[in-house]
Amino acid sequence: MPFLQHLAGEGGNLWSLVFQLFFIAFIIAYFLYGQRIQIAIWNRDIERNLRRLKFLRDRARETAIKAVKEIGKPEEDPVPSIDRFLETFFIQPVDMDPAGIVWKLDRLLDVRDLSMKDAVRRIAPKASDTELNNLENLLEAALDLNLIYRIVRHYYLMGKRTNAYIITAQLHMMLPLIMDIAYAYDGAVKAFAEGQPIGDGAGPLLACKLLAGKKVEKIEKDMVFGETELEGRHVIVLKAEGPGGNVGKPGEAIEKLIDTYGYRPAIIVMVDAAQKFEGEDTGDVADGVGAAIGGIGTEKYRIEEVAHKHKIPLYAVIIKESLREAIAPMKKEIYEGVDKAIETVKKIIREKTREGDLVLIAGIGNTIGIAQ
Amino acid sequence: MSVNSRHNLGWLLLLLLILVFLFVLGSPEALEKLGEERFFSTALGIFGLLLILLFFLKLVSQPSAPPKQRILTVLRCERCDVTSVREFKRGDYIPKREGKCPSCEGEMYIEAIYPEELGKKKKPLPF
Repeated sequence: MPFLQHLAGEGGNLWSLVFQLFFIAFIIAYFLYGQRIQIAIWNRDIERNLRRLKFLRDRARETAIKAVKEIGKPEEDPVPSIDRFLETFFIQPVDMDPAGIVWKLDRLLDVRDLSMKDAVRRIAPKASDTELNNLENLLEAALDLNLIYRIVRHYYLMGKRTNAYIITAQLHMMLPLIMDIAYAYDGAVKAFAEGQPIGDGAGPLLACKLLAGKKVEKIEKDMVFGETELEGRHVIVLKAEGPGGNVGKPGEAIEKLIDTYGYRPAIIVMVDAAQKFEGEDTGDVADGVGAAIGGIGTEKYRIEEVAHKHKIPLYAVIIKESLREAIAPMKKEIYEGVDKAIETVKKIIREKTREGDLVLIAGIGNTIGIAQ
Repeated sequence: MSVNSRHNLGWLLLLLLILVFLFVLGSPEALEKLGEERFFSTALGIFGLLLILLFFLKLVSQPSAPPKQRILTVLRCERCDVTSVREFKRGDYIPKREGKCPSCEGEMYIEAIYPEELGKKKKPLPF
């Protein structure tokens, strides 16, 4: 202390000296190790988010196990089968020679879907078809959360092990978006476990409203259609079969309605929930031209093919929502958006067709919690 | 802790720091010493250190979890359009028929299932 006092000078303030030393040390440390300090802060941030991702992944797994035990009443312990399900993967077909890739992809997706349904049926033998679809959706959401967790952990550890700062920096910068998707899946897990409608169900909800009180028939895999009158036009309304979690195969269903059943609609109107831009309001409605359908592209391809073959104009109505809202429980604004979308569909029908024409309306999306 | 309360806590801490700083400056003893350059730089140093600490705490604080929401089921009467709202039960779906209308004995059906709205509405964008 006397030495420090001596350094501070006669009448000098010791604390002032300590603070000056501290600031000088801080500036030197930041100058020499600034990047490492920055990386350490980023790594800490990634670790914290990884812990949260692990928590979300584990919670989704627990929810799935609980739902399977409650609904499926399996005789054996379902945990090993669920853990195996959560590690399954899908390999896309080779695209070096893209000719014919759509059908290869379509076939692979069918196989994947069938094997997943089989796996869920084995895990939950007592579940009804609706519950089976919900459980499949729930397990898929848990699988996606598991995948997100594993990918983030992989890049975090790789960045740390190889000292590749660029990987850590990129991962850290992407984290807010990744966490946003993870939280969306977390919301979806709850919705799927309970069978609540999700934002992506806007299209099927519109179809359900148009089909209120009408008879519906099953067509194609997990798809139903019904007939009604709208603005003096004869209308065929198509949707995935609910209320289990299901997107169906709208492309195949439209193909079948036109090619096999012989319907010749004057126009096809597709209604789907679509990604809004930041700053836009959830539930806003817009219309345009083309096939309004997401996914990997095989169904869109089929719809475009059949519309082109028969020269049927394709119109699209979208209900705007974010990716997060699309897989979280459906918001009130989206319900209001569906009512606005019905008015837009009516307007399109009035403008583009004559009275007595046949119109095909397809409500695209996951129909969980929405029957017909 | 909700997002808002965490955000408010940060501002509260900052305000507290400024108040402490002003209090130190405002005390007669401090005013006497204010003439001394060293005292002023020490006080400024403490303030700077506390600010660094505050920002560091904010940096390492836990990311906020999304708020929990109740899911509501809206029932509507087919005949008189009366609506009623209750909490969601497993097995609810749109447009499940459920019970009779309390006012006209018409059939009630589930019209909507959505999460209850929490918190403040977002301000409209100025651009």
